[in-house]
Amino acid sequence: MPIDCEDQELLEGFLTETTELLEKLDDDLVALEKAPTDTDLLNQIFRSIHTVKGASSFLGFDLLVRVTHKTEDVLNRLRKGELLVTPEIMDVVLEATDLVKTLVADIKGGDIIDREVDETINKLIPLLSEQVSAAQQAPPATPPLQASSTAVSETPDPVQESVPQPSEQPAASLPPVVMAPPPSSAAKKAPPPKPAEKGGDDLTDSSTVRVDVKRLDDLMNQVGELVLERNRMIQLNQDLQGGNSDHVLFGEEFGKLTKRMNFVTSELQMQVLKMRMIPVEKVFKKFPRIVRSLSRDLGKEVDLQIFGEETELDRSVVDEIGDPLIHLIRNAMDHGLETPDERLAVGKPRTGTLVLAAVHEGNSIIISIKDDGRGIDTERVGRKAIEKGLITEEQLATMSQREMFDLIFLPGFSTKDKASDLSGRGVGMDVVKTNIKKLNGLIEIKSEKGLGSEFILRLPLTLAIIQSLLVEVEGEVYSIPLSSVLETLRVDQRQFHLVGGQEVLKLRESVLPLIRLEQVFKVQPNVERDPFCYVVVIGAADKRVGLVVTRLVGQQEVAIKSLGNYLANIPGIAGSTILGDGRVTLIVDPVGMIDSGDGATGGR
Amino acid sequence: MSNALAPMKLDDLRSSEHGELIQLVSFNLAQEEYGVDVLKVREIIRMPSITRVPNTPQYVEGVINLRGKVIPIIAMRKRFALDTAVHDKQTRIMVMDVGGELMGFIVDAVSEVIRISGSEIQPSPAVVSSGIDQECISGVINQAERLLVLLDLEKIFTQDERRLFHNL
Repeated sequence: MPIDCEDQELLEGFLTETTELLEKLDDDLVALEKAPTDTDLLNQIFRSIHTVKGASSFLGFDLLVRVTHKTEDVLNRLRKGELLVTPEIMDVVLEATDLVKTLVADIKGGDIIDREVDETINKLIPLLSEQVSAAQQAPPATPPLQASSTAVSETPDPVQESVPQPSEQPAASLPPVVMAPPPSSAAKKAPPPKPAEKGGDDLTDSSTVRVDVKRLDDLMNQVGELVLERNRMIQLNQDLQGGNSDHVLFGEEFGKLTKRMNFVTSELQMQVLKMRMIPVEKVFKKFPRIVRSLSRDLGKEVDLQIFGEETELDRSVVDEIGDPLIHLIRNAMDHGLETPDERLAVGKPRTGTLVLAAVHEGNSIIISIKDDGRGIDTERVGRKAIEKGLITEEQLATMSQREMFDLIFLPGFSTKDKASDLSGRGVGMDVVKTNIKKLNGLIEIKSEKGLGSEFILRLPLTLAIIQSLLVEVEGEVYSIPLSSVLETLRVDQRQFHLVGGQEVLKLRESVLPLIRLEQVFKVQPNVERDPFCYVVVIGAADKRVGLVVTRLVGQQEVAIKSLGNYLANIPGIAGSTILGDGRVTLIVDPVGMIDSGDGATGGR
Repeated sequence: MSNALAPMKLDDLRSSEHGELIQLVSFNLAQEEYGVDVLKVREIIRMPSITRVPNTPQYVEGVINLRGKVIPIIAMRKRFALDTAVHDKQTRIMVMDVGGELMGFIVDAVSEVIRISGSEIQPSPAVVSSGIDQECISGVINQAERLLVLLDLEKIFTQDERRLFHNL
């Protein structure tokens, strides 16, 4: 059934608002489970649902109204203290929230599907009957509203009267409800009767941006300055053309202008870049919910700790890291952490810890997922890899520990004998690796058997502008992302060695495979050959390769330009950029280079 | 196959223009004259410096900087397997919108914009000049003293080539 909503603007407003509310709702609900007596939080949740209900009844989305209405009723009883927050109730409420999300996604898609909502509603209804609350009240009731240790610093104010709060009250004015979970594990004791369904549709919309007004003002200022400098430039040109200025004076003035222009544009660049930055929280906030349902599914107790969610990074990166992170978290929950009994048996605390942390480091962001589970058993990994025919015995024998860790990223690899809902198909880690590579990122694994593992992702802050090293290859200029350049050397070509047909260089104590860019890019070689050349050592993941180039040109900050659909996916080329003189230069894809280097060595 | 297709394309062209006047940009390539729909042509520029792109089909001349946008350049002579010619003062790049993306095509010379009525377009004969794929010829225009080959650049790359570009 298509939507017959006359006022498109109204509908869009509704969708934006609802989406935002729902996103926050998940988070709040999980937080509520950990702090069941936090009335402020409960009120906030109630208001969110109430707002959604109000707006959808106004716009005539009946299904949505039915679900939200019942959910609201249940929440209201929780709010009044007639019900206590239990994992079972939360399961149902979360399920209802998921249903709401699906319904909203339908509306967003422009087509309302007549979905089955009764099943969920029927689960909500029993919670509204008196008996339930009576049964709940029976045990020596800790006064549910006595906001003691868990309540946030504020004095427990008497908002818990049944007077509904005005739903317009901005969420920002509420005391900050911290996500960092209190060490209570009470919320997770009950065995999962019916695990909450996963996810709900992803409602996040990345087509519009909200920008801080102050940032916009700053930007306007910068543009104003730029306009001034442009006027100055036009003036200078006129003076020169009109003969009012001699070359010496012009040169001097132009020099000054260049400096100011340089300053203004770099500022402007920073500002625009900042606007594209969003906190990684956007991705992280999904995780408490995912971890909750996973822990119930798996019967494991997990304490998820999140740090550095305010760390900002480029939208393009944020959009891409969601999937890999989910896979890594699943992996940690499923393979890494042990069940409570197993943990107790080896003398660890019952509840496992999963730490998700983001931090800036120079021009990159580092995200780490760390668990205190059983760690990676390299022996088992190796055996499985052989069983699955991914590697041979001989290969395994020569592998370092790092290389064995890397085995888990092979497509088709899994230590599970049987694929379950969660894992076992050998796809997840491959997805992680591909996505991270796509972002020009690196993955590092640290693991100690019995103590836990840590996956460290190092990602560039932005994909739009990068520092690059310009090199010349027989007259053609190429650009290599500086983030993957480890060092550069000037060497005599006579020092190159041939090992099995592959040119290598002895670099300190290791042997570095070499790739001649002029061969890869089929550049016409110059007649005269300089015995000296430069080797640019690049690294991705833990592999290193030396690129042989004729000359180093310099370092420059370049804006990445796409080559368009027709020229996408050229091996060894990641994109292009425009240099100061207007010429186009191709950007070398370090990861592609290293992989092709692999092929070259492995093939021979 | 081309015979079967040609009349259909013709109908498309006619119906879209209601048999009215069509404006074409005409250009030369190895003594032949060709025409493309003027609405597809974004601009016509002189030869700038072209950056070669390695590991691409031979007819991909490279990429250029078109006011801050990087666009691929196709050498029409090479694409149609004609003899290569030295670029001279007449050589132009026609920047066109092909399937939503800008692309430049190197042609020997661009002559003029002509108006023709839809009814003047005839289906292309089964065998046309050297090596040009039938696919991208949507008709010929036979005016008194000249013959104009109408090209549909959306079809300049065959399915295989498109796939090639995507899987390279």
